[in-house]
Amino acid sequence: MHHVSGNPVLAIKSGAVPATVNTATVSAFYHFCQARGRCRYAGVSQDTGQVNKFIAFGIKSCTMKKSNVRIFFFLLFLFQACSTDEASRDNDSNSALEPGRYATLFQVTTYKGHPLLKLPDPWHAGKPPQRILLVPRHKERPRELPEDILVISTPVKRVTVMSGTHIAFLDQLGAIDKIAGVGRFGLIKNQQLKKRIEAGKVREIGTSGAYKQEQLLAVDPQVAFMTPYQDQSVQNLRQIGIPVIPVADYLEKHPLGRAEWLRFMSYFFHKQEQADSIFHSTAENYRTLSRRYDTIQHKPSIFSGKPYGGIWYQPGGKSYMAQLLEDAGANYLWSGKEAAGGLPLDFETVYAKAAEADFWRLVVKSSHPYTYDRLLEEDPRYADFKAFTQKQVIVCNVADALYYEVAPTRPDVVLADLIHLLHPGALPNHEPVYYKRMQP
Amino acid sequence: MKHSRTYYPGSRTGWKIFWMAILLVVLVLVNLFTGSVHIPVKEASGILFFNGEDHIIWKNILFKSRLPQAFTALMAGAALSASGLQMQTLFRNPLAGPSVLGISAGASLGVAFLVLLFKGFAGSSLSEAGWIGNIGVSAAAFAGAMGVLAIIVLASKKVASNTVLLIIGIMIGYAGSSLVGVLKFYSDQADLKNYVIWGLGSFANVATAEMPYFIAVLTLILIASLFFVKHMNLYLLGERYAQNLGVNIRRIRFVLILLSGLLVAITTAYTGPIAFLGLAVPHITRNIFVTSDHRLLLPLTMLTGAIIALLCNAIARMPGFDGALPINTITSIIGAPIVIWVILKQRNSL
Repeated sequence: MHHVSGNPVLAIKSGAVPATVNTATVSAFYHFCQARGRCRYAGVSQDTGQVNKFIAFGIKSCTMKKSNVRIFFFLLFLFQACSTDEASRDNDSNSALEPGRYATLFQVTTYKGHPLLKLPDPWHAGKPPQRILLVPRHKERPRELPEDILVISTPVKRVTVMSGTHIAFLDQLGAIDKIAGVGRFGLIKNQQLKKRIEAGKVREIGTSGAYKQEQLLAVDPQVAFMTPYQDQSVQNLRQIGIPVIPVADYLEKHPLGRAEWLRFMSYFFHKQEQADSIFHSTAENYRTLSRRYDTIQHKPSIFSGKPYGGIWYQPGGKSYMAQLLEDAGANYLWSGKEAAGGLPLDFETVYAKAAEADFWRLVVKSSHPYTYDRLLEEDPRYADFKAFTQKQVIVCNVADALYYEVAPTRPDVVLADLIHLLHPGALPNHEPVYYKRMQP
Repeated sequence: MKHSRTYYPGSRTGWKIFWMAILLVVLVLVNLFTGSVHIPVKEASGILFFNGEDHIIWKNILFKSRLPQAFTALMAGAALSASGLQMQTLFRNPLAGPSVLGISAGASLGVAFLVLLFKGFAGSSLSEAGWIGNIGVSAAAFAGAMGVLAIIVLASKKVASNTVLLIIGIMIGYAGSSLVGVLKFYSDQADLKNYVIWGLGSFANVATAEMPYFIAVLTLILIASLFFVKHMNLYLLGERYAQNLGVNIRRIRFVLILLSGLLVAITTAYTGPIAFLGLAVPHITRNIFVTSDHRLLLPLTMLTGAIIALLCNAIARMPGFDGALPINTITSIIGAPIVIWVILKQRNSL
C-alpha cells in the first residue's frame, strides 16, 4: 500500500476547471463518488443471492394489491441499499490509495487491508466496475469474498501480454523477465523480450479475437494482461480459468492518463514505489513543457493524417492527440469538436479547413525514407496544402520509431518532440525521438 | 436507339428519355454544387464555367474533388447497372447481379490477400503502405475479380447449364468470403478497419490522373456491350430457342460474361464493392420504360444507373454529413426495397 500525498490533484481537462482546485475539494468529491458507486454496486451484486430469494418469496406468497407490492419492493430496496452501505463500510476502505489523477478507467482502494483495483466499464457508465483484489503470497486470502472479486496472489512471476505498450510498461518496471506469453512474436520490438523468445522462454498466444487457447493454458499465467475491446473475450477466457486483467490504457483521453496505467500494472509486481516515481517524473516533465505555451500569442495551426477510402479521419477534439497538440501550443484545427474518437471527414472538408494550415502531422509505416515525393505520388492534391509546399510536414515513421509501443508510456518525450518541431528554436537541445520533420 | 422508334412509336418513351437526360445533367450539377463545404452557386458556376480564379481552394475542391467524384459515380453507376442487366438476362434470373458470380467476392479476396501479404512479406501493413497501398488495393481488387472471372469463363465453356454456372458462381462467392473471413481473423485492427472502409465503397477514390483511363476503358466496354443487345433479346426467349435461331450460345455466353465481368472488376477495383446498384437498376429501368427489348433497355439501364449513382452520391455528400456517409448505406437503402418488391412481384406472377 502506498500513499502519495502532498501532490496537488490535477485531474483537470482542457482548462475547463481552474488549475488551483485544491486537494481537499477534489478528494472530497472523489470520496463522494466512491461512496455512491459502492452503495449502488453493493445493492446489485454483493447480496444478490439473498435478494433474489427474498424477491422470489415475495412474489410467491404475495397476495397484496399491486400498489402495495410496489411499496413493498421500494422499502425492500431502501433497506437493502442502506444496510449494504453500512455493512461494507468496514471492509472496503474509503481511503483511496491513489485517486486516479489523469487515468479515469482504474481506481485503487483497499479491501480488508489489501489493494483493490477497480475497473469501471469503459463503455457502459452504469455498470458496476470489475474488482481485482491483490493478496500478497504469504498472507491468507480473506474469506467470504463477494463472488465477482477476482483474487490474484502477488507478486506475480508469470504473465502474458498482448500489447506493445503493456510490454513497454513492464520494461519501465524491470519486469520483462516475468513475461511468459506474448501475442505475436513478429510484432515484438523489445530487445530483452526478443532474447527471451530466442531462448524459448516465451510462448505465442495469438492476438485479440484469435487467441491460441491451448498455448495460453500451457503458459498458465498468473495474470494475463489484455487490451479490452467491446467483446466477450475477457469473460470467455476467464471461464477457462485464465485470470484476464483488462488494461484499458488506450481508451484514456489524456496523454498522462495513458502513462499512468504504469501504476496499475505495478501493483501486480509489488513495484508501486518505482512506478510512482517514474510516473511523477514523466508527469512533471509533461506539465513543465505544456506550461511553456500556455500564453503563446500565435499558435501554429496543424491538421493530421491522410484520407483512406474517401474518408479522412481527424482526431476528435477531446482525444489523446488533440490534447497533445494543444499542450504543445498548437492550434489543432478540429480541437472544437467534442468527439473523443476519430472524426470521419471527406477530402473537401479537410482541404477547405486545412489548406492554409502551418503544419501537417502524419504517422506512416515505411521501410524506405518517407519523402514529399512519395506523398505526392499518393495523391497529387496534397500539393495544394500550404504545409506541403512550405515543407512543414512532421512525420512519425513507425517502422523506425516505437510510436505505438513506447510513446504512450512517455508522453513527455512525445510532447517535447512536438514542441521542438512546431516552434522554431524551442528546446534546441532536444533530439526528437518519434516525430521528425519530413525530409524533402 | 435508332430502332427504338420503330418498335416504340409512342412519344411517351421519347419524353421519358428526354426528362431522364435532363435529370442526369441536373444531378451532375447538384453533385458539383453541393457538398460538405459550402460554395455559393454563383461563385461555383463562375469557377466552373467562366474560369474564375479568385478562390483557389474552391477551385481545387470543384475540379479535384467534386468533378472526379461525379464522373466516377456516373461511370460506375452505368457500368454496374449494365453488368447487372447482362447477368440477369444471361441467367434469366431477376436476382442475378454483379455479386452473384462471385466477382465482387473475388475483388474483396484480392484486397484481403493484399492485407495479409503486406503483413507477411513486406513486413509493413496496408494501413501505412502509402502509395503502394492505394494503387495496390485497386490492382489487388482487379486481380481478384479477374481471377474469379477467369474461372467462371472457363466453366462457361465446359458447363452447358446456366443454372449450374450460376451455382458455381455463388459457391465461388461463398468460398471467397470465407477466405476473406480467415484473413480478417488474422489481421490487425488498423488493417481490418481499412478493409472494412474499402468494403463500404466510395466514389472518391479515382485519382484525377487516372480519371481519363477509367472513363475511357469503361466507355469502350459499355459500347462493346451495345453490340450484343440483339443476342440478349434472343436469350430472353430461352437458350434452345436462341440456338435454333442460329445463335452460338456458348460464344455469346462467353462474351457476355467477359464483358459484364470486366465492368464489375474495373469498377470495383476503384470504388470498392457497391451494393445493389447492379441488381436494382435493371428492375427500375424495366419498370419506368415498360420494356424488355435490350436495344432500348441496355442503354437506358446505363442512363438510369448513372442517375441513381449520382443521386446516391449527392445524398451521401449532403451538407451536414461532412461527406463521410458511406455510399453503400445509401445504395442499399434505395436498393433493398426494390429487391423485396421484385421478389413479391415474382411470387404473384407464379
